[in-house]
Parts: sequence; structure tokens; C-alpha cells
Amino acid sequence: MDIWKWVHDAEDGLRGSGQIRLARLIARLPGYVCDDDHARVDSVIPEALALAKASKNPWLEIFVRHWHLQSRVLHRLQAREALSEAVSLVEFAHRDGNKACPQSVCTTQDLAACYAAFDGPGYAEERLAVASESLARIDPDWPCFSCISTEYSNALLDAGRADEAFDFVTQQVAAVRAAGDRFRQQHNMSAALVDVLLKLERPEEALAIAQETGPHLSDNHQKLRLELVWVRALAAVGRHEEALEHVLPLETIRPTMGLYESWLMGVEALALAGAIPNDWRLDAQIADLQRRMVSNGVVRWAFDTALRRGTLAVRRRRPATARQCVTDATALLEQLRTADGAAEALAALSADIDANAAEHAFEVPDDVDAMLDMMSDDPETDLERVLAAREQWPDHEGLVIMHGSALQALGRLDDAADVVAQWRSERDAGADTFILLGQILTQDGRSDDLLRLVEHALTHAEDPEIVHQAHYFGAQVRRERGERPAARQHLEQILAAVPTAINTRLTLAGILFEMDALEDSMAHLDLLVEQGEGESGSWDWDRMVVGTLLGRWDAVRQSAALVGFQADGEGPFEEAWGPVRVRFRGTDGASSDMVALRTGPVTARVLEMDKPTAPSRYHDAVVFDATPINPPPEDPDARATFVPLFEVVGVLQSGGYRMFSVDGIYPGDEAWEALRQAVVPGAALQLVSGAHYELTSPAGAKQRGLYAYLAVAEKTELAAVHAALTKATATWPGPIIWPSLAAEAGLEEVVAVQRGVADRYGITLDS
Amino acid sequence: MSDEVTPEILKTQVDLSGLMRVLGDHLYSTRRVVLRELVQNAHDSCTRRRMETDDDFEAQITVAVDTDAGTLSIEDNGAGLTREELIEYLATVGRGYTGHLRRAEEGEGPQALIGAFGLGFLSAYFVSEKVELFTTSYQTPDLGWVFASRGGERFRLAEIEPRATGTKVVLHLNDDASELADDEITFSLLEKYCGLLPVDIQMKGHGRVNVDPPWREPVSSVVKRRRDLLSFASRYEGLFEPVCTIELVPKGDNGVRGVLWIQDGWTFGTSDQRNVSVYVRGMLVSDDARELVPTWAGFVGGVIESAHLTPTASREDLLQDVPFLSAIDQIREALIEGLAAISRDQPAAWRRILTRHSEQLLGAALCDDRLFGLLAEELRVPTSEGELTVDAIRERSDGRIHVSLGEQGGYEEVLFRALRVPVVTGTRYAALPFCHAYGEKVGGTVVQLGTEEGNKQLFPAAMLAEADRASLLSLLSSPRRAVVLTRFEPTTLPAVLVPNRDAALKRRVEQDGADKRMSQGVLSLVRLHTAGIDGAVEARLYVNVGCPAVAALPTAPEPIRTQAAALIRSLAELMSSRTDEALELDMNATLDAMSGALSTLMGLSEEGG
Repeated sequence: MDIWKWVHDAEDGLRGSGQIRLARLIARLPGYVCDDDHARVDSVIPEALALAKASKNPWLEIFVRHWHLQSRVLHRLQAREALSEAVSLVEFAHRDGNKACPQSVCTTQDLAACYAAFDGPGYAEERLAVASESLARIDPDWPCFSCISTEYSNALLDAGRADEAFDFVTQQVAAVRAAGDRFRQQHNMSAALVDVLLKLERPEEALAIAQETGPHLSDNHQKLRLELVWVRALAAVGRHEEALEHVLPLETIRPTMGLYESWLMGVEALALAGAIPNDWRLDAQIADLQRRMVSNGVVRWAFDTALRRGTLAVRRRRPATARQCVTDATALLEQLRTADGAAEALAALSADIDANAAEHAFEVPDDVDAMLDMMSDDPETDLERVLAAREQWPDHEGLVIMHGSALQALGRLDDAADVVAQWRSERDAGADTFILLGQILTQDGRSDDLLRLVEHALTHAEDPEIVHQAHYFGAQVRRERGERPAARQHLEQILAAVPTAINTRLTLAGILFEMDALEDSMAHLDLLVEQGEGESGSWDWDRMVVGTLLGRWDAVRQSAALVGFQADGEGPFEEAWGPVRVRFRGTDGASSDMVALRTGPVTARVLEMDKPTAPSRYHDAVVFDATPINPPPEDPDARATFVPLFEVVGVLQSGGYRMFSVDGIYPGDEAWEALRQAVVPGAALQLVSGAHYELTSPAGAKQRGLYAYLAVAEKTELAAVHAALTKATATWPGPIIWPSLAAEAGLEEVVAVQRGVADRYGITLDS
Repeated sequence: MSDEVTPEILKTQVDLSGLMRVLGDHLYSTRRVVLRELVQNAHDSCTRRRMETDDDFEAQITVAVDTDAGTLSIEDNGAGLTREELIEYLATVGRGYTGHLRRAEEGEGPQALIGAFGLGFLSAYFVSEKVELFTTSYQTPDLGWVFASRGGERFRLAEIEPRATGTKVVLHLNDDASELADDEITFSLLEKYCGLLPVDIQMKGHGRVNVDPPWREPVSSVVKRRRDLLSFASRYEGLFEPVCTIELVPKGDNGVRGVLWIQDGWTFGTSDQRNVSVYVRGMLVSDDARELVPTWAGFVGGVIESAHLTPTASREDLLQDVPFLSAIDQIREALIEGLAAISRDQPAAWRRILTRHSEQLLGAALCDDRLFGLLAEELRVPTSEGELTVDAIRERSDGRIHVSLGEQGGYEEVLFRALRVPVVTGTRYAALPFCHAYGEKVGGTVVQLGTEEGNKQLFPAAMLAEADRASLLSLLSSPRRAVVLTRFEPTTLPAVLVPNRDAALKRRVEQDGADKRMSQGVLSLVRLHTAGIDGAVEARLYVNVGCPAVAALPTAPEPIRTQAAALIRSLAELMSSRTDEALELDMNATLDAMSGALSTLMGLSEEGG
């Protein structure tokens, strides 16, 4: 049966009824899923689902939800998060009327896949039951026959029935062949067969199948799976060099948890064989995958991964890491549905660690200072050594720092924080461990815990260094959270104790500026200049900005001179230092850039006109942050034409212009220039249109058009501008109009006439 | 022919008709490719002459059409062919001299030679009634040869007066291929297929065909280079004007070079307008090599060339080998770095890109952290308050990013409209994952409305004196509803009722008849999940203790407080009713309760008045 037929028919129907967007999404979704293009899947799903629901076609809703689950569960193993949706979809897909949808069979597979992800062996029997029920509903000519057969075979493998799985897959392949399938289904099932063969330790046959299948695979997920199989199979036959060529970088598989297990099997084999380094870096990578699996509820694989890491750690003689793996695995064991085999494997690992304990133990020097000097670039070795040393000197603060730092470097931030916090809680500890703990919590993004630490220190600590650091951490978190008053308090406390803390004062000045407390901000900046004793610093730039907004021209000129500007004179800068671009941020957060003339170190006047429908910024005097958004290019040639772009931080004075437009037939360069010169003082024109703007006369002749902005100062009479324009364009060969200005000036007859011109020439008026 | 001396008829040595049928079906998808194949042969011939002789000659290929006569001719001043070579290479498929040279030579040879399959000449038979070839080899400058064949199975070979060294092929086009005798068509095909060849190509009546890609020249000035690239791009981008370009500079041995450009046409999230042409050794191999460009860049066009990419046998596509994969990496990196450079150096172009391709860029930002960094503060997402950057949304929502998936449309709408808090339209392309990425990488809490997690964030538990707590719980509780005391804005809204979807699901799968619809195995897995759900709570009533009316309830006198509580409950029921199938609302009972409470309160007020 062609289960895609209804989808194609539905697509046609949607297109026919104008629902092109949904049709397109339906057509593309499976491709995105099969290519592991997760960002695309997540980008289109909400829209596709909303449109499918709105179309009142429940089959389409099933289709979209099923493919989303395929991506989330089969590929990304978001089992815990998706379980409720998987159950809900099965229920929805089996309601009367919906059950006939061919995809309703697939929804049962999504559900079974959730449980397979939690604990494949633990739910093997239930999965076998579901898969065989599904197989009973379909024939070998359904494309899902191979998917569900694969799931059945995987469940058999998880149940420890590999021989049966081999017979089963062989029989299913024969069935699809008999049903006339030439390639597709057989290749889909090849992956299952390869898995079975590797489990049966028949890697040569697995290789042969992988070789044959490879060129026929089209989707990215299948291709990646095959690469992983290559690694495992080649490693199994000892062809390590070749296997290395197929190892996928971690970044490639990281987004797709469904690939982890196979990747790990291959990497473990290569590491045990010495083909890749079995070191702490590899362990850190694998530990990261393990954490991800735990967070998705992928318990069985996480457990297996912990054992794998443990085995590798024993092999590289790192008993502490190995014991940590046993601890991880023990916690996961309790969450497994069936511990058959798992408990024994865990016990075997523990026994292995114990058996090698004496031989693998790390030696500790007699002198603790010698120990502290032994910090290496291998944090795992440091960890082993420091653990041994701490048994000897449990109270030594330097060793605690070494311990915490080693764990931090290994990426075990929770453990690192626990070790340091535990030690501190038992004694009146110094500032060094406080700082380390604060750094670890910062790195781990645990800002709530960090704030608790800060509060505790501020209430209890007497050591001024701890208080100082607590304020520092407190200010950092509060600032990140946008809680400026609280951040301000912390920074002020630091400055009260250490008035020369330059960066703290600079930060505080910045926060005060953000809080619109300009005077306060300026006071700190003045102090920084005073403390600088004639040396310039980044505060000078901030001071020029704040000083300009406050009209403190003496201070502005002082800082300008300090950073090297020619700053003689008094009052505001009114220079003409060449073109810049300034970036305004609208209330919607979007930015717009305009050409301006730099009038001082941090000031500019806008020269560019904007469309009449936007608020006019023409001739606005602005203050900008003097760090250019676009760094100057290195290439000298490009630098010659470089125009810096600055972020506007405030408008000093509005230009006060009203914006209009003129439109019509272009009169030639000379006449246009004459018009520009002829407009009355207080009004200005800027040409917007280029050579491509064409208008068609009522007689059908195409002529170059003219579209220009017209800015008129508030004090200038609109009627005078109208008169000047009328006079200057009287002899022009074609019409030219300015209805928006005429309307504003109350010249109704002119408006009527000009609108008539617009109609005849097809001119679109500003709205 | 008058100048023929000793004509002879020979047979080709392969089953040409069979082979041509196969080639015609599978290899040459369009008859126009013939032009490319013959120009390629001419080019190879010139290269050969340069490699094998010390002749001082300026390689040139001249193409001419005669519309009236229906002929197309391609002439070169290359090596020419001897009689033996004619027989060996033109009469024996698969043994083109180029392949021979490619095997024999290293260095310049393989780079400069294009032909690989020795099939090029055969393509001429697809389009011609008769093919003629006039040649004089540099090896036998005193001899000239004409080779002529109809259909290719038999050919006639005769000696003619010697010509200048080189070869001229004349195709007497058949009816199907008469368009090749059209001056304009042939010129544009030549430009497309052969424009990047390093050998000078002239077309009679048109002049020079070669395009001279800017990247083959050294950079004299950045600005000029940018302009040249843009003008080159305009020539190759059929549908849209290019906004700006990114030059592909070779990196490593396999590097490709060329130019990418950003199209000016508008795109949507799923648009795919990628338009990439690939030239191998100067010859167009594919004009749709979109897979070289990342899928997130549906707005990118490009022309690239490389000596390391390998055409498939049809020479109309590329082998997906190691150089191909490394070209994909190179192009992706160039694109990301190039976009970053445009954002710095070409603000006007950057603005245009952001407006034209905002949806696509939302998706693109999700695919690469660098792009995200570049775009995070620039892109706007659709919200209930218009399009806003996520930063602006956070500013207006106290650090939160509220996202609606449009399924509820219920209380949140009321709530947030009252507050003028922007709610992101999560059903638009990439809006939801972009907000998530922003929250994760920049900061901000994404609150997905209508989800369990979202409700927890919207309705944090409120601390109350025990007596007030107990009083409110008892006043506001009702069957199958759990009361949650919380605090939220606006304080004018006393309560919100949110269905418990899990309970509804549990009810449906545990009701009679579920086992008829679902098979046993499936049902057992389904119930494994629903067994853990507390089905007694069908909905949660989130009560806003910050609302003055609610706060006044515990101390209000009876019966006012009981009736007011009933009103609050009914209001919450009614507000949730239009939205959700999961909640089975008894509308009559609710309205009854409401009007009963109102009557009682009005009665009280009359009594009081």
C-alpha cells in the first residue's frame, strides 16, 4: 500500500483550496526529520500543527504530530518530555475515523520508542507485543513494514535474543522482496541487520552489508548511522586505521541522541585498542553525553555509558574516576525497569576497580607543599593525587582548592561546588575557597545559589576580602538580571572599602547611566579622571557622553583633550569632522542607521532624511557611544572609504523638521539641481529615486521619474515652500507634485489638482 | 567536396546506435549540452598543442551559426588530428585523447584538460543530420582531412588541402536541434556553459564570450573588487538582483573559489531559492548544485569553480566525494564569516538582508552559534504587539519571553492584552526555537503559555497567613477543581481556570471502549503512563490573591463572600470555556450559579438600600 498517497492527495487538495503554506510544510517536514535538520523541524512544527488543526483534517494533525515525535523521540530521544504527547497522539490516532489514517500505525511506534529510550531491555516484552500487533495490521508493501520490523528486531536484541532477531530480519527482508520491493525497504532494514550481525560478532558480514547499502541511502540520519556502523565493524575486525576515518566528530552527533550509543560503542572499541587516546578529555566528552542522556530520562543508555567510562578509567589507571562511574551507575540502576544483567555488570566493574586498587593507587609526596606544586595539565591525574593527599591532610585549604579546581576543569561543576561548599560549611574558611566557589557557581549558571552564598557571606563573614568578593559576585548577578538598584548597592559597598577600584567605579558609572542617574554617574566619572592624574582612560569617553547630555562642556572638553582631540574653546563642540553613520533603536528594538556629520568626539547631526511616514530625525543633534559598531577595516584601501557606525545614546536636540515628499517626472540633472537651490531657507530636498524609477504618462510614454524627500523646518511657512516649488518647477517638461505638503498647508485646491496628476501618472502617494 | 583527394568509407568500431540510445537517455539531459562538449574538445585540443609543441600561438575558439543553412560550427587553432588519430579517437568511443593525456601527464595537464570520458564528440550526433570535421594536425602540417558522418555508424574520411593547424567541426543540425542555429540562443548558452573557460572564445557576430571572473584577478582595491563581484553576480542571478557578495577564497588544497551572493527577493522560512552553478576547469557542470550551500541559506546564489570537484559520468552533476564535502564546509564557513563582515562593513546591504530574509535568518541563527551572535539583537519576532526584537520583549515583560502556540487563545490573551505585554506568536516560523535559543544564550525566561511548565512560571505559589489560606481554599474549591493560590498581573483579574490535560487524557484511555480501538499491547503501554496521573483534578483554579476582591473575601460577611466566591469561580469557568476541549464545562450550571449569586447580591443590596 502506498501510505503516502493520501498525503500527496491531501497536499494537492490543500494547494487547490489555497492552503499552500500547509501543503508546503507537509511536503517538507519528513525530509527535515530524516535529515536530522532539527532546527528546521522545530521551526516549522508549531506553524504546521496550528494550520493542520485549523484545517479540521485530523489525519493531517496526526501526520504532523507523528513526524514531530519521530524527530523528538526516534532521533533525539526526548523521551521523558515527549511521553505524554506520544500517549495523547496514540489515543487521538485511534479514535473512530482517525484510525483509518495510515499513520495511526506509526503512532504506536512513537510510543514504543519512548519506552525503548527509557530502558530498551526493561520494556522489551511490551515493545515486542506492540510491534507484532502493528505488523499484523500491515503488509510487506507498506513502507512502515521495515520500520516496525526494525523496532521488533531491536526489541529482540534488547531481550537478549540475537539469534532470533537474525532469523526475523532475514525473513522480513525476504518478505519485502517477495512483495516486489526493489531497494528501499531492504536498505531500510539493512541497518537492523547490521546491528544484529554486530551483536552476533559477525563483523565481516556487517561490513559487506554496509558497503552494499551505503550508496543507496539518501537521508542524512541513515548515512550517519552507517558511518557509525563502519567504525564498530572495522574496529571489530582490527582495521583501526580505516575505522578512524569514519569516526564522526562529537559535534556532528551531539544534537541527535539516537546516535550516541552506536558512536560510544565505536569510540570505546578504538580507545580500548589504543587507536585513540584513552584520556580525561575523552572521558569528559563521554560524561557530557551521559549527562544529556540522564536529563532526557534515557536511563539504560546512561547506565551503560557509566559502565563504559568506568571500564576505560580502570584501563587508564584512574580509580577515582572509575569509582565515580560506579556511583553514577548505582543511582541509575535503581531507575531501570529490570536490573537483569545490569547489576552483575556493575558488580563486575566494582570488583575490577578493587582488584586493581593497590596497583593503581597514586603516591603522595611527604610534604604537602610539594604536593601543591604537582598541579599538572591533566586534571584527572591531579584529582587522583589530591584525593589520596586529602586522606593524609584532610583540613588543608590548598588541597581543597586543588580538588575543586580539578573537578571544575573536568567539567564536574556540581561535584566541584559540593566539595568546596562542604569543606567551607565545616569551618571558618578563608577567602580563596569563597572565590573558587563563587567562580564555580558562576560558571555553572547557578545564580540563585550564588546569591544565597553572597547573602550568607554578607551576614556572617568578617574577613573583608570575603565581603568584598561577595559584593562583587552579588553585583555581577544582579546586573545580569537587570536588577540595577541592587547591583548599585553592591558596587557602592565595594567602593566604600576600596575607593581606587577603577573597574568597579566605571561599572557603577555605567549602571547609573542606564538608570538615568546622570549626575551620579558623572560624579564617579569625574572622580576617575581625578584619580587618573592626567592619564586618559576609557572613562574619558563615557564622561564625554554623560557630560554632553548634562551640558558639562568643561568636563567634555577636558576629557576630549585627554584622549587627544583638539578641544580648545568653550561650550559644545560644533565641528565638521566628516561623515559618520548613527544607529537609532526604535521601541520595537529594531535599529535604523542614518548618515550624519560628526560635530564632536561623541556628537553628530543627522544629515539623512527618512520617509515621511517615519518620525523625522533630520538635523537631530545626537550623542553616541564612541566605540564604533563596525571596527575599522585593516585594508588601507577600504579604510579610506570607511565610515564608522555609532550607537545613538541620546538625542540632544530634535531637528524639528516636518517630512514630505515630491514626486513626478525627472526634469534632468540641471533643473533638479536648480530646484534644490531654489527652495526657501528652512527647507531641503533629498533625491531618493534612481534611474530605474519610471512613470508612464497618460499617453503611454515611459519617462524617468523623480521621488525626493522634502524636509521643512518648524518655523518655515509651508505656503512659502509651496510657492517656491511652484515657481521653480513651472517650466519643467513634466508634472511634479507635493500633495502631502499642500494638504498640511491647507491648500485644498492644489491637493485636488496634484492628486489628479498622481492618478493619471500612476503615482503612489505616501500613506 | 571539391578539395577531397581520396575518400574512403569506414565503419566505427562500436555499437554506436545502441550506445547513443543509452547516452541519450541517461547522460545528456539536454541537447544544448552538445555545445559545451564540442567547445570542450576544442579547448582540450588547444591545451594539447600548448603541451606538446613549442608553437607560439594564441589559443582561440570561434563559434559561428548559419541560421539559413541550419549549421553550427566550432573552430579551434589547437593541435588538430592526424588520420590515425581521427580513426582512433573519433571512431572509437571512450578513447578520447584527453583521457589519454590525463593519465599520461601530471602538472598543468590534468588541471587544464576538461574532457574525461572521450564521449564528447558523440553528443554531436544527437543534434545533427550530418557532422563534418576539418582538421590539420601540427604533426602533419602538409595534410588536411575531412571526416564526415551521418548518424555516426559509418563515416567518410578524405584528404583535403591542408588548413591552418587546428580543427573545425560543422554540425548540420536536425529539426529537433534547430534552436542551436539561433544566434542569440547559442550565444547565451556559450556564455553559460563556457564563459569561464580560460581560452579565448569568439562568437561570430557577437564577439568575445568569456566572462573573466573577478576572483581570477588579484585584488587591487577592495571597493573595486566588491563592485566587480556584484556585477558578475548580477549576470548569473536570473531571478533576483544580488544585494551584496561574498568572495570564496580557496583554503587548503581542495579549496573552491568563486562568489556567493545574497538575493534581493523576499523569502519565507521554508523558501529555497539557492541557485549555485559549479564550473570544473572552466566548464559548467551543474547549474543547480544547491546542496553545496547550507539549507538555512535559501536566499543565496553562487558561482564556484574548482579543479578538484569531480563531475559524474553525465557531467551534469557532481560526485559527492571528499572534496565535495570539504567544499560544503568551506562554503558554509565563508558564508558565516561573510555575513559577519557585511554586518560590519556594509550596513546598508546588511539592513536589506535583515528585512528581506528575516524569517530565514531566524532559522539560520538556530543552526550556528556565530550566526546567532550576529543576529540575536537584530531580528524581530512576531508578537501580539507587532514585530519586536527579543531584547525589546524582555524589556517589556520583566525579563520574560511569553510565547503562545495559539492552541489556547484563552486566559492568556485576556491577561496579556490587559497588561500590554507582548506575546510571541510561536506558530510562526522559527519564532519559538529562536526565543528558546535567546533565553538560553543571552538570557531571559521563556514562558510557553498553555503548558504545565508555563503555568508554573506564570502562577508562582503565594504565601498567605494560614487562616486566609484556609478560608480562600474552602470558599473557592469545587468538585474536580484544585485551587492554587497565587499572585499575578493584572490584579483586576481574580482567577483563571486552566484544564488539566493529563486528567482528560487519562479519562479517555481508561473509559470503556478504549480496548476496542487500541490493541492490547499498545493499551498496556498507554496505561503504564496514565496510571501515574491524578485524574481527580480536571482543572486548576489559579486564584489571584493580589486582586482586591479576592483579598477581601476572607473577611467579607456572609452571604456576600460565598456569593462573591461563586461569581469568581463562574467568571473563571466562562473565560476558559471557549478555548479547550479538555475541559467539559457545564455551561448551564455555571450560568445558573452566576445568576443565582448575582440575584442574591442584588437582593442584599436592595435590602441594604
